[in-house]
Amino acid sequence: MKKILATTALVGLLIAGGATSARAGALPGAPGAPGAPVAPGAAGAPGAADLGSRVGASRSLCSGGRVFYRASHTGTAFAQASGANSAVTGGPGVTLTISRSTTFTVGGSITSTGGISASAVIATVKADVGVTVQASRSGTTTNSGAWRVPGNYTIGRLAIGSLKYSGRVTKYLENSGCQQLSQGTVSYNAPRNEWHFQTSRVS
Amino acid sequence: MGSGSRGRGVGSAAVAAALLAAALLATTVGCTSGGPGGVVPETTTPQAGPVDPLLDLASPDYADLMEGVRPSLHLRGEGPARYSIGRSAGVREQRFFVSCHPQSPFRVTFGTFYSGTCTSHFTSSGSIPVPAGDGPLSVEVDVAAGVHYWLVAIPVGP
Repeated sequence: MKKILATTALVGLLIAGGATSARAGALPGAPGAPGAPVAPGAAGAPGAADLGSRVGASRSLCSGGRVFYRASHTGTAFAQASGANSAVTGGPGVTLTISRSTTFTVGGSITSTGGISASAVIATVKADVGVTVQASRSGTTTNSGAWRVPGNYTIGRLAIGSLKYSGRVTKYLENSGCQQLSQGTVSYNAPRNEWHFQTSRVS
Repeated sequence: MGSGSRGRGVGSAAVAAALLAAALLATTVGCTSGGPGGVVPETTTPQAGPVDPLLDLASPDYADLMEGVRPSLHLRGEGPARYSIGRSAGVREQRFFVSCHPQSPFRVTFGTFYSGTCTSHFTSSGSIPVPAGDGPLSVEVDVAAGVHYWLVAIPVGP
């Protein structure tokens, strides 16, 4: 009986030792290891999209001092390019086109304050909202937006512009206790990086 | 950058295009002035005035390049006026290009209408179906007195 007990104790010690060795074998800083740096936005990284799930995360996953951003989207609206020549009208059956050689401009605003740069706002909106915006958009079109005014319209209108996205971007600092502390918020109201043609019925 | 400015410059090909436009001008048919304004007998484009749309349309530097076009109307005028175009078999629409100066509204009526705002280079076009019926067709240009313009109509077949 004593021999059996001694053997059991020896096996237990060996198992414990092996497990310890296995843990020690993980390289600090290696992917997946505790304390390893995680690129913001990477899979498994505490990015904006999984902000809620990170609140209850193990404290051992937070090294502290990490900065990240999160964008909220509050609205989208068509903004006609500046200049009266960015719109034309016509009667029923008329095909209206806008020249592809004309430079149009749509203004926007990205408030760069509180240590939040315009480039950070653009990158965050792209990641969280899924669109590429610009502080302002200027250039030519790649198509004419040709549109035939329906026969049941008295007057139709074709306008060129861009969809403007508005919302806010908040900068967060994650401390070693995995708490996300807001460092400031900026607003954006910026055109999407592509032209948009709006057709409408005037009467 | 202001809205309506040119996205591309008119390159050396514009010289050749000018010659082409001059040749096309000679082929213009059925132009008669019926309004208080009318055709200005000048074939050159003043520096500060509107630019002939055919020069832009014939330029390889231009995104809206149209080659081999034979306009049914190609003229320069000032103030409101009315012109006529003969009917041609197979012509379904007339596509109008207007450049005018100074900035003000313009309207082209050909049965129904197409309208916009004056710019020295054209920035839009309107293809208007040929009105049903027989006889000559009337084109009215409605601009304020003193506004200079180029008007080009290109026939569109079936």
